[in-house]
Amino acid sequence: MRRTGFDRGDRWGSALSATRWLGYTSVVPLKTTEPTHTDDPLDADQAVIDRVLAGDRNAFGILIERYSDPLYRHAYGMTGSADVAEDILQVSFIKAFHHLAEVRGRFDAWVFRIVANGCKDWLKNIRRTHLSYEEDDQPSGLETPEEELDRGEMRRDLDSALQSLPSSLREAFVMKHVEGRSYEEMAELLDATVGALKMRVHRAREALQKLLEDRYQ
Amino acid sequence: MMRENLDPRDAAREPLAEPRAVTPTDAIASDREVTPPRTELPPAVHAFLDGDKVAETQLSAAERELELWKRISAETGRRRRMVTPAYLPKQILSKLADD
Repeated sequence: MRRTGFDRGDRWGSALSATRWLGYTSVVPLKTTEPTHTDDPLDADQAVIDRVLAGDRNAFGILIERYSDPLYRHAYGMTGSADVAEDILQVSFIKAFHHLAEVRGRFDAWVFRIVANGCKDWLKNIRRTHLSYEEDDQPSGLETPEEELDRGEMRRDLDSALQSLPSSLREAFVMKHVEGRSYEEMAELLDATVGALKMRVHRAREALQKLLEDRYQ
Repeated sequence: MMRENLDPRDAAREPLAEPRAVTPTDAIASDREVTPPRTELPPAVHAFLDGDKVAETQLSAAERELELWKRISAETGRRRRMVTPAYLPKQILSKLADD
């Protein structure tokens, strides 16, 4: 019998496979707010960009709706703060709006780079001192108290461990495991080779293993 | 389609602490990209986590590691369901209108 990842049949698997589909950005737009005349997302985005450049400022909202979720997850994964992720997204989309005429090729890849650079700039200048996930530790009623406690601990420990990784390893891990991107997509977005990105993800995993194994094994 | 909003700010919370000013040491540390200490994982575990086909026998030799990664995957799966706060797109458009 062969198994592939935590995406086959168990509770982790169903979440991963479903969100891998939902979180994908380059081929299938996350969500659209209006029908488009083409199935090609590149053409669909370009049609919206043309409308914005022609003066329909509100049409920019279509692009925000279409791509904000994976970008928000990326910013959150990189910074560990919902407030900072929100700020980075806001600044990035405003920047994208003002430079929209410069888009060549895929809008989603272009705006991803703006957000990714925003995260890196933030990380260079600010050291996070607070784990905002703590606020979400209230019991949801969906799990047993033991599971809730366990979930809160893992959340904090994983956050703390991620923050201790170099940003390039954290970025690769977040893109692979939180955003659910393929190595090929990551390579395209980060302008790196698949081999280099696999190496980063593997190193990130092994560093996390080292940091968390004593507590969880 | 139902999507779980895991925005932690929906729950009651304490205010965020002010981030302290960055020091030159911090900046150097974040740029240095030092490879942290690692525990080597069996190739089968990496392959499994990459979504590749792995024989059950290879995985059974790494049960301890897989147990940890099952828990990590549960957490990353939850994070993958996070969505942008509903007010943010409107807020961005309103900022653009103010320009």
